[in-house]
Amino acid sequence: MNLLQLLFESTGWKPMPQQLARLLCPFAVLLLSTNVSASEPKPATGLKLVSLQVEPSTIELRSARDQQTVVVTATFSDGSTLDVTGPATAKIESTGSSSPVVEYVSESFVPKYDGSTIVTFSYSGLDCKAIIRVRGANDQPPVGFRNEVLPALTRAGCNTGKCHGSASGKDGFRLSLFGYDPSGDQFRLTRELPGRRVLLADPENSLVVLKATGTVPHTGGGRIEEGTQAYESLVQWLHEGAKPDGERSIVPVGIDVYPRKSVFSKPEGQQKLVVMARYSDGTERDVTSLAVFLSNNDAAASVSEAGLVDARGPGAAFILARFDQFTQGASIMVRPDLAFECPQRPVHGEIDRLVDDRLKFMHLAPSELAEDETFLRRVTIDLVGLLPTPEEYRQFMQDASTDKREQLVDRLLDRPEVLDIWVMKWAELLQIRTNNGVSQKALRLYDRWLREAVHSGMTIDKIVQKVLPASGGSLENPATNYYQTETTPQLLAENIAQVFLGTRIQCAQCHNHPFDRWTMDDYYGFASFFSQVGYKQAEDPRELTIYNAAEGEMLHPLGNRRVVPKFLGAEMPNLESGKDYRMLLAEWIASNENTAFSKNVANIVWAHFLGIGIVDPVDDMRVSNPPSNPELLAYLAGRVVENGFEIKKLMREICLSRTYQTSTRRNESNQWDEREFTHQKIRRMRAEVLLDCISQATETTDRLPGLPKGSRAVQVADGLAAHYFLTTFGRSNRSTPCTCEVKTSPTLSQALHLLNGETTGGKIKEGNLVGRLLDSASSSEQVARELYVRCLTRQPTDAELKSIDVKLSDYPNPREGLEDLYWAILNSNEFVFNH
Amino acid sequence: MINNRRILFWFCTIACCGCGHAICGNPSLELVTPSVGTRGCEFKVVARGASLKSIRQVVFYDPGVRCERIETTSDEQAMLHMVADSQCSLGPHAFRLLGDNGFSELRTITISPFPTIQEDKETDKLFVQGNCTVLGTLESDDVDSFQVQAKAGERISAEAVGVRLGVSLLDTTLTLRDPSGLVLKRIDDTPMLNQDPALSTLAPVDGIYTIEITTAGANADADSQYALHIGNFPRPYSVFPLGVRAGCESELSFTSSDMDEADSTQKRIQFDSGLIGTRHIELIENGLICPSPIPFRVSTFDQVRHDADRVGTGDCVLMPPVAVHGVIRKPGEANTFRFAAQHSGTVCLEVFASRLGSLLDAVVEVRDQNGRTVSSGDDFDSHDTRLVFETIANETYAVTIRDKRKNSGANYSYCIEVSPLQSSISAFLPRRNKLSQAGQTIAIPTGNRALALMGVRRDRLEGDVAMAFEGLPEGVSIDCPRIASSAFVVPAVFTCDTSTSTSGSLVAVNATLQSGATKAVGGFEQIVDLVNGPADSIFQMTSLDRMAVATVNPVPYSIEFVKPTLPLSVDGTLEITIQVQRDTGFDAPLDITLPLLPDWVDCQAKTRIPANKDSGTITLRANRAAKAGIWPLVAEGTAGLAESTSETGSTATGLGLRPRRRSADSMTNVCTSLHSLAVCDSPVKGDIDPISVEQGSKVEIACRLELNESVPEKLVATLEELPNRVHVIAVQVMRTDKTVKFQLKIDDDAPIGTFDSVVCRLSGVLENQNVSYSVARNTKLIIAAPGASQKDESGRPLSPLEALRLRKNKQGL
Repeated sequence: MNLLQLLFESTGWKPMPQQLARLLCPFAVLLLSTNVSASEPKPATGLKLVSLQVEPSTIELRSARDQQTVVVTATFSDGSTLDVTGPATAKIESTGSSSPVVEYVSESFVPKYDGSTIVTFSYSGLDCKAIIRVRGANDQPPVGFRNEVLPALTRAGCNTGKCHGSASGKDGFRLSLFGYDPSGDQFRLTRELPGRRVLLADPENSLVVLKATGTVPHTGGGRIEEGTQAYESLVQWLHEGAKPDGERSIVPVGIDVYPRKSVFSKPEGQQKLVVMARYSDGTERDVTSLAVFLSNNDAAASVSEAGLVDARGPGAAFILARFDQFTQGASIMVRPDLAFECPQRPVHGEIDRLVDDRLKFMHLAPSELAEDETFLRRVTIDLVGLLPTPEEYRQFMQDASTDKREQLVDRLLDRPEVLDIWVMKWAELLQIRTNNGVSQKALRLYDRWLREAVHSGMTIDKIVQKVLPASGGSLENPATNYYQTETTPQLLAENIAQVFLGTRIQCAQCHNHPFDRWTMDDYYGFASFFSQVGYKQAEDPRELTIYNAAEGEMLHPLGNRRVVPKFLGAEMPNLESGKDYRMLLAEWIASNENTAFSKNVANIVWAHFLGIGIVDPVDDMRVSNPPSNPELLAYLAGRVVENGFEIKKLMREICLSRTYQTSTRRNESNQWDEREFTHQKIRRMRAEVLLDCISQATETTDRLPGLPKGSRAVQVADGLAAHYFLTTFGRSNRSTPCTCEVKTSPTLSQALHLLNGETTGGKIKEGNLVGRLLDSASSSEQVARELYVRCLTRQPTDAELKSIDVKLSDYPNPREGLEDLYWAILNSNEFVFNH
Repeated sequence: MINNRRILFWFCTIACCGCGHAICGNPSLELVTPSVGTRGCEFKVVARGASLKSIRQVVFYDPGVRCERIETTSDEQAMLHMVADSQCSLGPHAFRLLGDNGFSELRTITISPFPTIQEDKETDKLFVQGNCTVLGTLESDDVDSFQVQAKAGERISAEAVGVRLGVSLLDTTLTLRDPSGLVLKRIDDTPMLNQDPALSTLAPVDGIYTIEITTAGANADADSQYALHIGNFPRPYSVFPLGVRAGCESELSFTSSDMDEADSTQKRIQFDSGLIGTRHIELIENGLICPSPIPFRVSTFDQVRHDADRVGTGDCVLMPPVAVHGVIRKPGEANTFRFAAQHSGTVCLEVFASRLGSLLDAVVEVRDQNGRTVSSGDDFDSHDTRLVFETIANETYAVTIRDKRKNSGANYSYCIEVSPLQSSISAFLPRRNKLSQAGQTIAIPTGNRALALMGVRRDRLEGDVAMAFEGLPEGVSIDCPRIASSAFVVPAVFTCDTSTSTSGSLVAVNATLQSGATKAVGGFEQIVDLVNGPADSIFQMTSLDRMAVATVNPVPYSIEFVKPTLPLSVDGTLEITIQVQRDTGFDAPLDITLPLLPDWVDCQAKTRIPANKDSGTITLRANRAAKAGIWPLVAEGTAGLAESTSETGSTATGLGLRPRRRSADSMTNVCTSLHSLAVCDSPVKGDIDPISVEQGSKVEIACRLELNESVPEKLVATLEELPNRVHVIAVQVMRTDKTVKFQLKIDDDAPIGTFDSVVCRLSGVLENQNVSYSVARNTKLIIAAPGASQKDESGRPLSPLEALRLRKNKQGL
């Protein structure tokens, strides 16, 4: 009997499999790390090996210092993979009588002579080959600062924000954050304090070496060990005079990570990664030992400093590798260690097919389909922001047709309230509010413009094309109010990238983005589209005129050089003299070719209905935060483009998919899933929708800021309009374009307000629904049933009816008791949440 | 809907009655409903406000509208029966109510050429026939709809008057719908009409068209009035040229419909030579009149057109003064012309465009014949540019004008006047209250005095200015000193005879500047805000050329100084006395203020003379920066509520309810006669060495003195600005003393630190007036913990560095 068994038996506690897994996890990892390193990896039993691949398969070694690691991957019949670099045998072809041109040591090729050869890897009866060329096996080229020294410092963590990469440096020494300024770093190392940091006469005793190795006191301790490649590169560079890189020095232009995708058949095992850098002269080099690795989901897979991935638990992880200014990643999938049988269910459309493909691959079974009542409530709230009326409930429940869900979605999509929801969402992204000088009049005009545009069928791409190049007075052309939200090119660029491209580029204002591909050049190139926006006070003091000043340049903070406008992740535009840069940008952003825009729109729509984006957060698409289902996102983006950005069609397709209609209840296989859409998410209604639903359920109206009585909260124009309920329940005040402005997390003040505030109690009294129902000669049970249908879109269960009956008998006045029941329903999680 | 405006009104009324001095009894005119009348017709308006029972007259600033009869229904409401002459000019007419206690605030009545009809809130869409003016109100989100019938090709025009009524910031939007309900036009603002919209178009088909008016802002309430002209009248969007020469006949072209239609009317006009400046013309076309007059510029200069006269081409060089008219017709286009300076001197180049309804946002650059920029500019108060620069005789200058946003069109017209710079002078009443019209009229109680602060604006002029007043009410005299060249405002004291009855008039003020050979004369120019917007912006205002002066009911007191015979010493004080002459039975407290003091001289903001007291004192303080000289001195008195006044007396006295005393509220302010205040250099000198003490110690401090003969023989000296828990006893000194010694006691818990604002004050009485002088200002006092103070042999406190050096020397290091 082991300790765990003893624990279970003594306490009587029987953990669920999930809990057990968590409990055992530390032990499992401990065992894994010792066992796996000691024994060769083994595939799951019963699987057939279908392919063997070595990466990279073409290798070129150009100096005596060059080495090349490889990774050999076995792929099995169920799609799972296995790192077999260790057990695979490597046979190097000899050329004639001479020794092989390379030597295979510790899964790495070391050059011996110039020449070429072919290496054959064999594993379980399958072979794969790699071609190796060696040129300059005896060459010792000088060590480059950017290509070798700086990556060594980066990997050692010297230029991180908490060390010398902070804005003011650390302990008197500053480096550019993550090495975005190589020439500046070289200057600071060698000449900022002459004779202090480098000692060319005795390189090993340079302060930079002694500090890095921890030989002398160093706040950061020893970061680079003697004998490592990083140490050798640094010392060798000092020996060679610590020279700056020449103007013609090659520079990295990109990196590749091998293998791009790995599938663990169960939560155990390891996978080696290899990082190759591509250089401006067309050559490639193994930089695995100089790259930085990070995992975006340690619960599924962690990664060591050397790039060795450990499978930890079921799920998907993305391993990010960073070298120089480039970031690239490998997709890691870890299947649960459960017997999986693919469920047979009808496929409703391409969405379901793509989701199912992914689920099958992940060994995940989706939840069952939600009941009609649940679906009716869910889709009504999602589409029109209201509850189904009792009449709609009865009509839908009595409808026996097989396509009644389809009919329901079509009916709802025809309602104008659908567009009000999307006016609100676009208004949040455009940050429509009375701030930064936006007057009440300008706000109303801006809101009215957007409302009329959306209701008249203007799609989001057309809205973008109206907003971005908008010129004129903020009262004359309301779209220009966007340029009052922020008034600097940098902030405008950041907001537009986040809102319309789902990309956060803020980091790149001061340094190259550490987790994405954006550099400072990208940032300022994008910001320079707004460098010629002119602002002028109009005659009306409430109005600001926005115009194309046709002059003014964006300057790069490094060197103050002029920056030419450049699209994010695309080619430079063809700049015509005098043309408004913003016009070019608007054309590009909202074009069909710009997949970032269509993906962003698709992702926003998807997240609205599924509660989580395919990329989540929706406005944070980056290399290190890839989509959970890339094929699905690409499909939805394609549909957006095909539909001419008419999102109603996409909404219809999503609402009719089985994926949307699944229950919120989980099954055994999807207990752990949060991102693969195996089940619906339970979502608290957002503030505006909740208030509208309470008003609807109680048959009351609200006096909302700036709106006539009877308007709905989703129509409030001003993000800063004061309203206690909306503020308490996390309404976006639109102060930033971040989707996180809308808060749906529960708070104590929300609970207290629903319990004690005026909204529920006051509206129950004001609406007098219970009184009216009782007056119409309804029995208490009928009233209770009516309240359930109105608020929860379902009939009370027998147990509930029995309980209600017991409770009501305590009340001398049934009306009072029913009003308390009404209050309790409005306070229940079932009402407040969409499920 | 809750009527915020009305609540505010009642709140203000109650609050003012409570404090008793804010509205000073003159009639308050809050709102006029409707504020529109028809030319050549009688009409009735309801005036709402406070103290309206006493009004006797409605005083208009311009001819054309008069009030025939006043029907007072309560103190808060009156019916005014008005008549607009058939020759009355269209647009706003400013007026005030005149009562026994003075003039009210200024309001306007707008005259329309059309008959007025009242909107009907019960009717969904009111059908309108012919040209008419609909009067209505709009609350936020109200939409008032009106229907007109038109045949294809007939003109449909509508013009809203919202902000221009001068009542509230009712920013309206007009929408024209065709018979099928589709929107033909939606107009928010029309440049020529400020924030008001107008539309004019030809009906595309026969049928009934709908005109909707709604608010563009969110602040409208039940008192937000509008007038909506509806019909088939001409409603031009633009006029070209934007100016004419006075006394000459000129042809103007009015574009009357959409900008892209060649739909213009030519009209020949001639203005009298005396009418210079921005004027208005009434446009009549085929017997139909545009309901609002159209502004444009009248000058005595030669008028040239940029295109027609080809001034931008060849060797054409203009000779100032000249007015150039043009239109920016193509995007990014710039118009250029040249002029030659006949003399060296200062030239003013002023653009008139935006102010006259043009859409042009002018940017102007002036280059000399070498291509160097002499002057350039963008905005000057409005989008119109005004440049002032020096020219050299016979040099040629090129002027380039373009639109800031590189826009263009038929309505991007401009008028540029180039002329030698003219100097000017004008008088005005400085605003006493930023948010109201308080203090912009003069009310003089019979047999008493009233104060006005008269200001002068000098534009490129320097020198003393004398004020002259024409048309004062009978029995009123004025004491107004010259305004020194270094000042822009003086106190003017109006005095009214005891025998004068209440009356009022609009008084012309002439300001004359005489400096050597330079003489300039200017009139009165007062800007009155009617509609304010956010951040102190003004949406509607009117300019007045005369000052409203009224003689009003007597008040039961007067005030006067006990004439100060001593000067106020620089860095000293002087106590002056105010005496009150009370009528029998008047015992309310009085608040005395000195609204205008010399620079760097101040006193308490308000001095209260309690009920039943007949005098009070004010201590004047002169800063060290005050300048010696003679300055005007006048005090203003405001009657407040008696502190003991109680509506329900104490029953404990057994006397029951006491009769209510005469309320002092609603009384007009009075003032003293004009006196002089002499400020002299300080007659005393003295100094104290820096003081270094320790907590819990006692020290003797010596102050060296040098007093001259003009100070009192006996003085009391003390130290001021000491920190807490440091004590000193005042010491008596004689004028002949050379030193005064103070015993300083420092408590154990006195604050440690350096206090460098200690001053020695010498106070005394001379000629029955309290005076004081300051010496040894900014003496340094250092308080240290026991045993921590460092001094040299002379007792001088040492700085930490000096103490370190001293210790080092003692240690022989």
